[in-house]
Amino acid sequence: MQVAHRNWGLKMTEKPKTEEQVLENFLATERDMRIQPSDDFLARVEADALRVQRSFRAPPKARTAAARGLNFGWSGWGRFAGLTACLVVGVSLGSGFSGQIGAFGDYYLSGGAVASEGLFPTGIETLLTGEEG
Amino acid sequence: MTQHAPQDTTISDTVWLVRFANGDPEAARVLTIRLAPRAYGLAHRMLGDRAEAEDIAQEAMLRLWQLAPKWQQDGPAQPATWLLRVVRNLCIDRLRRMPALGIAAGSDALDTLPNQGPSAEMVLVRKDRALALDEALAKLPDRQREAIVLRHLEGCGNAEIAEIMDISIEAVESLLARGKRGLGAQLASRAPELGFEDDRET
Repeated sequence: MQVAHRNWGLKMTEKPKTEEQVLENFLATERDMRIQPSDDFLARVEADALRVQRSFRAPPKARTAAARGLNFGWSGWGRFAGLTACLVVGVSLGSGFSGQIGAFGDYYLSGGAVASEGLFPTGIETLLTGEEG
Repeated sequence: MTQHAPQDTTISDTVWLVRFANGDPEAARVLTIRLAPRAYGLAHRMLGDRAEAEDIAQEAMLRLWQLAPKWQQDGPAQPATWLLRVVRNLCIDRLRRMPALGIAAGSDALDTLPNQGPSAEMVLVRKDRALALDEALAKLPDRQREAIVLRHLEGCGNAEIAEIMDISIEAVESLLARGKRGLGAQLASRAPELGFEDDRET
């Protein structure tokens, strides 16, 4: 059985002479009928774009108060202010309580402060003071 | 969203991408209209499945959006070339995992082709021709098919194809030549039944 060529009575303008021309005709037809994506797909792509774009502008994640304080204390004017405060406190202690500091030093070096806290093992006080032997 | 929104063709994709990174919402729309159909078209030709093609194209576009702030405006790569390369790689990965895809390339495409043109008969002729080409393309080796699709259907230059496929320009030329020979041989025998030689018969 011979299969009839389907030409639908069309008068075609193409007159391909070579395989290359035939191929080009097919390709041209395909290009003309380029498959377009759906509007829904394009809307999804654009929504993705806007969501990613918003993430570029989003502020950095909020830090806790402790983190903010630590960050302030370790950087810029905060660090300067902290060092200045330490300096003032140190000088104040040194000048205002020099007498007490001397008395405390004597008391501490005599072992009273340590013994009073009971930090040494039993009997160590007698070794330190040399009462036995 | 309309696919035919006006867009300034004098501004390159790279410039739009920089604008996108700087927060211009218009850039998102323009780049979507310019690039998403190309990404989708290539994915569809490689996979032959509308849903899979949309999935791949959306993933590739998402990667482009995320990369935008780091895009080098003076760099050698064009956004479209980079995008098509990502689409190609994603399609290859998908085909490895799902080998059933891609065999009947273009199988669901004809259902969605626009019914435009002078007559219903002409539309049918064109659909038959498109189907014949899809069948012939599906019989080509993968790399020849990719090169043919990129060159003759997506409109890429040889240098761009070389970059997308990560091969030399000479290799692209070779793939194109062999692919065209293979396609031409397959389609020449079908030309008469698809109406290309009507004038010769009359």
